Amino acid sequence: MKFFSCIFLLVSILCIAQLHANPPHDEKLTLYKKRWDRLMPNQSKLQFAGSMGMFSGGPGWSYGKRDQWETDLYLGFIPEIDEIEGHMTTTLKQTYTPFRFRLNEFISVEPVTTGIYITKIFGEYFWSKLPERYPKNYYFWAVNTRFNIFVGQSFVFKMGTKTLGKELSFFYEFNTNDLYLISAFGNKTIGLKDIVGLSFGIRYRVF
Amino acid sequence: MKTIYWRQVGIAQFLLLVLLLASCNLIEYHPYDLNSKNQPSNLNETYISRIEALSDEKDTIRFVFMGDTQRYYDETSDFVNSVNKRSDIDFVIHGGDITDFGMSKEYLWIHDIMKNLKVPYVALIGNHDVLGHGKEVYNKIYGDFNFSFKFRKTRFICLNTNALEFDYSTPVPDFDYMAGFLNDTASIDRTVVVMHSPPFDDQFNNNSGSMFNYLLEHYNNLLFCLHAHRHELSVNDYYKNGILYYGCDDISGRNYLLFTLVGNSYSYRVVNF
Repeated sequence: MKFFSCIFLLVSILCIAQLHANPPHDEKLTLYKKRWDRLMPNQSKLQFAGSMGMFSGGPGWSYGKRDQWETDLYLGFIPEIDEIEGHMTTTLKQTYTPFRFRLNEFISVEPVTTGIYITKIFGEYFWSKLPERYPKNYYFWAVNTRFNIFVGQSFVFKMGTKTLGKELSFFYEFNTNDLYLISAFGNKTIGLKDIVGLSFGIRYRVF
Repeated sequence: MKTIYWRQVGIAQFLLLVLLLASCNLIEYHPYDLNSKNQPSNLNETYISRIEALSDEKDTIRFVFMGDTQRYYDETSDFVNSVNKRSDIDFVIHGGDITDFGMSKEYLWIHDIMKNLKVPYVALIGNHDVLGHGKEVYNKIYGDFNFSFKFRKTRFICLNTNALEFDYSTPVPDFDYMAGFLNDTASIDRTVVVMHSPPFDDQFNNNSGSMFNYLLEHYNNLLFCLHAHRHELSVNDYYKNGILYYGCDDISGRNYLLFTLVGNSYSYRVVNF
C-alpha cells in the first residue's frame, strides 16, 4: 500500500508541475486532448471461434504510421455443450499488418495479418497456479492460460461519409497454441492440419 | 486489368473458405472444449462387447498391458504396428494417461492411432486425462471411470485411482463399486484388477489404502494387479500379502507387458518394439 501511495503522490506532483508549466492554455488543452485521444479505443472486434470462446469481442487500439499495429482486448464465452458447463474467457491480442492493397475506392485487402494472443479461461478446473494439494512442480503448465499464434487475411470496406465510422473489415485467421505445438513437436504422426484452427471476425474501426 | 485480377483472387479465396468451412474440424471454441461432432463415444463399452463376444471355453488368455501414451504419438503408432504383427493377442489394456494435457484433441489423436489395432482395446483414466475438462471428455469418449468386463471366466476390474485429481470430492477409489464384485455371481474363476496410480503414490488416496487392500483380498481368486503411471517396469508386493502389482513403462520406453493366463497360473514378459 505504501508503495502505491508513494507512486500516487509522485504522479500528483508531476501533474501539478505540468499544470504550472509554461505553454499557453489552448496549446495545453490540445496537448491533453491528443493524449486522451490516444488512450481512447478506436476500433472494436467480434470474433467467432479461434480457441478463445464461441464469440468474443471487445475494444482495441490501432496505431503506428499506417495503423499496422493493433492491440485488442476480448471478453468471450463458451456455451454449455453436451452438459459440459459454459465458461467465460478473456483474450489480449496483438496484430501486425505489414501492408494493404487498395482494390478500388471502397475496398482494400490486407493480404497478411499475423500476431499472438493470450487467452484465459475461467472456471473451477482451470487454474493458473498449481493448486496446493499437488506436490511441487507436479504439472508444468497453467491449465487456464494458452498462448496462441495466428496468421490470416482481412478485407476492408471503407464506410461512407454519412455513416458513423471509418471502415468495416472482415477477417479470418488460422491459429494454434503452445500445447498443440509442443504436442506436434518431434512427432511425425501429428501434422500441421491437426493443430490448426480457424476463426472469423469483424473489425469496426471508428476513427 | 488489375481490378479483375483481384476479383478473381477474391473469388478463389471465397471458394477456399467455403471448402475450409465444409471440412469443419477447424472450428474450435477452446482446446479444453468438447467438440461433439465427429467424435467417437462410449468406446470402452463398444470394445468390451467385442471382447466379451470373443469369449469362449478356451483356457488361455493373452493380453497386452501398456500405458502413458501422453505425447508419444509416434511411439504409440509403432506400438500399434508391433501388436498388429502378432496373431495371439486377445485384447489390449491402456493403463491411463492417454493424454498429456487433458485436451480433447489429444484424446482424438490417440484414438486415431489406437483404433488401428486389430484387437479391441480398453482405456483407463489417468491423472493427466482429468485436467481441465478432460474427465468430461473421457466420459464422453470412453465412458465410466470405473468399469469391468469378463473374458473366459476371468473378471477384469478397471478402477479410477487418481484421487488427487478429484480433490477427494468424489470417492476415489469407489468402494461401493469395488464392493459390488465381492460376491461376483457371474461364473468367474479369477480376478485381475487394473488401475492407473498404484497404492502409496501421491496420486492414490492412501488414507483408504488398507480398505482398498481389504477388498482386493476378498475378491474371487485375485491373480495380480496392474498399474501404469510410474513410467517404469516394476513388480511390487505393496501390502506384503502376496498380491503382486505389475507396473508398465510409458510407451516412449518402446515396450509393453504381455500376460498369458492359463487357468489359475499366469506368466508375463516384457516385449520390446
